[in-house]
Amino acid sequence: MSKITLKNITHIYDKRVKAVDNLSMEVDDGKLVALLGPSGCGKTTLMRIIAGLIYPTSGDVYFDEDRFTDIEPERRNVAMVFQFPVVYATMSVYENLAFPLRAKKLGEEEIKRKVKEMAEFLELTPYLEMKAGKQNAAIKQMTSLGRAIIRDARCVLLDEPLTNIDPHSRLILREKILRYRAEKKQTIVYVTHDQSEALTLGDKIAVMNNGILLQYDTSRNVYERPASSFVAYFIGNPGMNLIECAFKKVGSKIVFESDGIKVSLPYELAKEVEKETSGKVVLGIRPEHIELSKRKVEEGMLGTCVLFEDIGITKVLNLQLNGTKVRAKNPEFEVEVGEKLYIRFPEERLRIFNSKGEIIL
Amino acid sequence: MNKSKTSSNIIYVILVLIVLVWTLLPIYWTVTAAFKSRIEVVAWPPTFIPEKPTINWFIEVWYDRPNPNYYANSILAMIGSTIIALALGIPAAYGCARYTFKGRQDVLFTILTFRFLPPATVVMPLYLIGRTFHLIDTTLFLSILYGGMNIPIITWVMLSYFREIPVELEESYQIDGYTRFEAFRRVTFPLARPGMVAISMLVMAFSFGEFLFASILTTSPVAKTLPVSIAEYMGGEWGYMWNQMAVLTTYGLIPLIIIFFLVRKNLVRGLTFGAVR
Repeated sequence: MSKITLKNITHIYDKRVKAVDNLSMEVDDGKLVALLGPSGCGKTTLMRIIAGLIYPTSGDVYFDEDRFTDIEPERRNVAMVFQFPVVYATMSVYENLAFPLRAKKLGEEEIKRKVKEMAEFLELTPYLEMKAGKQNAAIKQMTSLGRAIIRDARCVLLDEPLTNIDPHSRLILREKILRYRAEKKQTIVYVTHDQSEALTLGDKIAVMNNGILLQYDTSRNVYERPASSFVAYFIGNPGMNLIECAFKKVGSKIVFESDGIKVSLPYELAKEVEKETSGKVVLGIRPEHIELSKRKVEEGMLGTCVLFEDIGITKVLNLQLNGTKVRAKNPEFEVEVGEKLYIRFPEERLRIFNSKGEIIL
Repeated sequence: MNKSKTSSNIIYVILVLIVLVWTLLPIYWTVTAAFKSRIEVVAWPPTFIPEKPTINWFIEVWYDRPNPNYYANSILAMIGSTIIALALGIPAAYGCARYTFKGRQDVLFTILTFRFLPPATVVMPLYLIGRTFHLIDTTLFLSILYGGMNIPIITWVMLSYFREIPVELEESYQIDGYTRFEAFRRVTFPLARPGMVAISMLVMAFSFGEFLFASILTTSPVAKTLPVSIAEYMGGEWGYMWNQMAVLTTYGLIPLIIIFFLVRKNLVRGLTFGAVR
């Protein structure tokens, strides 16, 4: 159980493709960090660099205070679960679980005890004597997880472990991972492209895109104070509404305007935007924070509902405000397609990004 | 529907019969000729079953000329060349399948080009090279040549084989605490074994039956091979000695048949790999 430190990691494939770009982060001992990002953002590459399966083009990997950058994977004592369930097909489930223990040359009695314990924890006992290759994907992945966590590794790397198994087993496996973490206080890096997985599992979330670490923070902060417009849009379902606006100072207020949108904020609150020389910023508001009303409200903007989706737990409305489209989410609001609505963006919920996508407010 | 199924079955059976006759009849013909008398082997109309079967030819061929030596040379060259081809071809294939390096495609293509050359064009240069290094009339030289000629096919077949084996399996081994070599030995090698067996069979059959190089590069019982010996039964004072040739061919079939039976399970899996996945 170690702290993982990555310092200025850059990895370039074939001298052309930059998969990870000058990335630094720390994973504290005993914490679960979810590495989140779209496909091809470099998260799996980063994982493999931590495991030692690839050596970074530049930068360093530390476990606690020791530099491990050039150490072979077999000497790192890092455990990893891959996206596709990897089991040693010709061996029994028992032998699969015992495998890393044999590499450590433990005694047969101890191996037996540990395997039994692990099998009970993962509910694999009925399968122990069966060939691992003959099991379904869920049992295989469970076996593969067991093989990873049976020894006391420095840290456990999980590379989208739930992607390729059925929804029911997914819940069981997720629960096992959480229980294991709670009991062992193990350092875990969990790669996923599923934000709900990341938000529920992670102590901290690292959002990546194009090999760059965009934000590394708690779920709450990533959600409420996204560091950039990419994170704002990527997190949330649907993501944050992003509206490009012109702004000007009117009296003691700053007014943001776009086609069909007009929002004003107190000058004191929003004066930072004046640094933006282009005269344009991006206004962000989460769909669930938009206030809807069928009656006229103060500062309300008029819009038409063009699509209404009832997804059971909540309702998603696509609204047209002249030339601007906005999505709103509200669990109770019922409306007909084509109906006119008054829409208000509460000022404390508004986020403002500059033209480069960095957050200002 | 039922009718068309029956008729397609009939066509299938007929096709199988044609293939069987095509491959087995020459073998049958040769083996029976080994048991016929000198008259019967050229008799018209031909006999399908030897009228007075004899094993005299088998004894004569074994003692008359140094055929046991030739036989042993053939087997040695076969084993030697297969070992050489596998020892060089498999690492080449594995390297190209698992690592990206500059000029990988060029390496693979270059290996393939060795197969483009008609053997007859290189026999004379090879003879001169062999003479310089005192390798003429040695089984070693034949093994090296046959091995070299088969490296391309082994490399290319095993390349696609290795590419089909997920790299995660090896990585998982490494993460579980084993070295990369160990991972290859314990995961990839067993999975690729059917392919290696199948391709080795082809290499063996090629090396055992090769005639051109052997006829020019070997001169004495020290290194001469079975095919060369068979050819020497053509012509001379006795004319075409069909019985002796048939006997030697029959002897020659034995090792390949034995090997085939030993590895037949792997062979079928090896040849259908990829097709059934």
